[in-house]
Amino acid sequence: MTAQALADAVSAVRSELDAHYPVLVDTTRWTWGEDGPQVQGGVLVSAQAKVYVDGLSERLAAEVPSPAVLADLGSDWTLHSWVLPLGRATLDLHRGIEGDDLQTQWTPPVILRWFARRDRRALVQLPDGTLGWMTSNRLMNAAPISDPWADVRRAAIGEVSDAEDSLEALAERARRRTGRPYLWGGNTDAAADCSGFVQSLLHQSGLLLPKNTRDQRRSGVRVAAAAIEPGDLVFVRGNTSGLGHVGLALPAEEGTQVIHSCLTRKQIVEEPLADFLGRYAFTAARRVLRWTV
Amino acid sequence: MTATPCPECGGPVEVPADALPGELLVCDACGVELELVSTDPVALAVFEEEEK
Ligand SMILES: [Zn+2]
Repeated sequence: MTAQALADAVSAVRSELDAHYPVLVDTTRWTWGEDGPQVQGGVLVSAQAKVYVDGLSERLAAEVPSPAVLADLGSDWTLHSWVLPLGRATLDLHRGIEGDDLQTQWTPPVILRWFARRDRRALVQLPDGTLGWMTSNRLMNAAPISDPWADVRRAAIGEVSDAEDSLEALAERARRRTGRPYLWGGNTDAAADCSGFVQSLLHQSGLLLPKNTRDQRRSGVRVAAAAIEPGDLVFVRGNTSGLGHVGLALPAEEGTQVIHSCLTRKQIVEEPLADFLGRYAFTAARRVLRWTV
Repeated sequence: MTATPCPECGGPVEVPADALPGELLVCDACGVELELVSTDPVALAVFEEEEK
């Protein structure tokens, strides 16, 4: 086996990736060491790392180490740049480079991870792990002396941590938003989708949830449907659409309520837990924070 | 609590006695999300959905 064989295999895999991703973030450098292929640097997401590992091990018939996954929140923060958005206006992150499908929003101040730029768009990552494209003209390079995300308190599977405010304060903040519009991908005080609504509420209580319902469903610990308490996340799906949906349980004199940003009613609504579970199919309940009353 | 093999990896998945049909559980071994299709007998299926 030669270094040339490795270089050829790497270039073949790289063109495969290039053809598949409109903008490929790839900082890998492959060398042939004593124990076979070695790699430094990484690619953006785990699916791309897998293409390298599978493609190279097949072509070289050798064990191939995985490149780093740059979007992993635990990845080495020196592997990418940091940027600071100017101004206080809400950041809109889009799924695609063209910017027509809202992925999520964020309200500054924040320092973002920066991965790539094309035309006037930048591929960045938020502290909750969400990747997306935004206009690059608001971004200034930042050179922090240590990891600016080191202190972010993120939800983790199996963990319940102490809330920084009371259940009463949470309920007050949530109810103030009743009637505000549903916005697909939205994540601000003015408008939000279901997962953005609960993410922003609990972020203000000191815990950062992932943005999408699927990842939120893996946060914290399981709660049985019959044991749901105020402050818990309640996950359901539409009986006909099958679409995943999430609401937050709140205390009320007449029993536990659920508040959620509702796609069909196009706004944030509150209703009794029993009605919520009656209209949708229950899929899970999770507890991520411990509350003082 | 009973353990049922994960349809994806074969690892044991603990199904709590109070779990409801349609509830989603996560396989600790492979991380895949599983739907509890029925509780008697316990049946698990790999869950996939369009997300928001
Ligand atoms: Zn499994």
